[in-house]
Amino acid sequence: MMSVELLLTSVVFLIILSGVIGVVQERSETAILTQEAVESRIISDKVAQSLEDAYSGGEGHELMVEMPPEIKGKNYLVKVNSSGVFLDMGDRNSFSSFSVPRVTGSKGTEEQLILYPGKTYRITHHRDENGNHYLVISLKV
Amino acid sequence: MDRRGQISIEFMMIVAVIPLVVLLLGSLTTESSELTLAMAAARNGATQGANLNSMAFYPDQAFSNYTNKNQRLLLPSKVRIIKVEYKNQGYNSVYQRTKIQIRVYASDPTLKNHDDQNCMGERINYYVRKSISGSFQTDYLTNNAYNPVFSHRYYYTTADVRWS
Repeated sequence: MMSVELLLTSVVFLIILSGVIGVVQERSETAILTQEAVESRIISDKVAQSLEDAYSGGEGHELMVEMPPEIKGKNYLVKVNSSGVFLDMGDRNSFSSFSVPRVTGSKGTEEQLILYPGKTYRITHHRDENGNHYLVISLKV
Repeated sequence: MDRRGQISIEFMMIVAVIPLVVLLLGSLTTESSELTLAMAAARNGATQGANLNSMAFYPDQAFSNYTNKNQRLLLPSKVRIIKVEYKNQGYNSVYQRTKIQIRVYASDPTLKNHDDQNCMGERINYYVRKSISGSFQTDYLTNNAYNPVFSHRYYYTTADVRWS
């Protein structure tokens, strides 16, 4: 037969557990969201930093940037235009700025480029006939 | 008990009083525990808000607003939660619960503009309320902004974040 002490202890334990469980769930969600935020920040900053490095390296400088396949199992897109790098995770976004006057694609006319997860991109520093410097982002094949 | 198998009046009184005391203490403990859990949830929410704000990782609507008006907030910052306090503001007959006002104290040396601080503070408060709602699973009682937010005996509002 179950003793009264065990019964009381179980009841108290269940009361405490039911209260704590919600807080634990919230903490777990906080940890996941923070991790997503940090990873998205790392990716957008990495792209912006690569653009800065390619630009400061001078004409002919070339480097590769590799996009991770996912952020905590979620898809994402990185959009690059002359104002900065936008990371779009569907419901959340982050932004990193850079000081490159012009970024374009391999055609030379693109105003916004989209970098896809799991791909590697080549960033090259060019100069046009007027002496203006710009960067070209192209998919590495 | 005496030798004739009867129990004493003292024993009967003790048996009667103990459950009453246990029930009273249980009720007080549950009430206090509820507030403790709510404050734990509030601190967790404040931390979540501070982390996401520090990383400048925002939902679409906020991101769009900040792109237009508060561009500083699109860049990472160093939000720190100093403390989270609450004030009991008495029983409210409309909600049939006791009102608790929560105030977060935060600091960010990189954030000087008052408008930026307000936006940041609103986001922290949103996560504080959301966390309480999630902890007590009372989402169905509140609105999209989680304001006010409810537990079983209390309802919670947030005062403007104090920046230092």
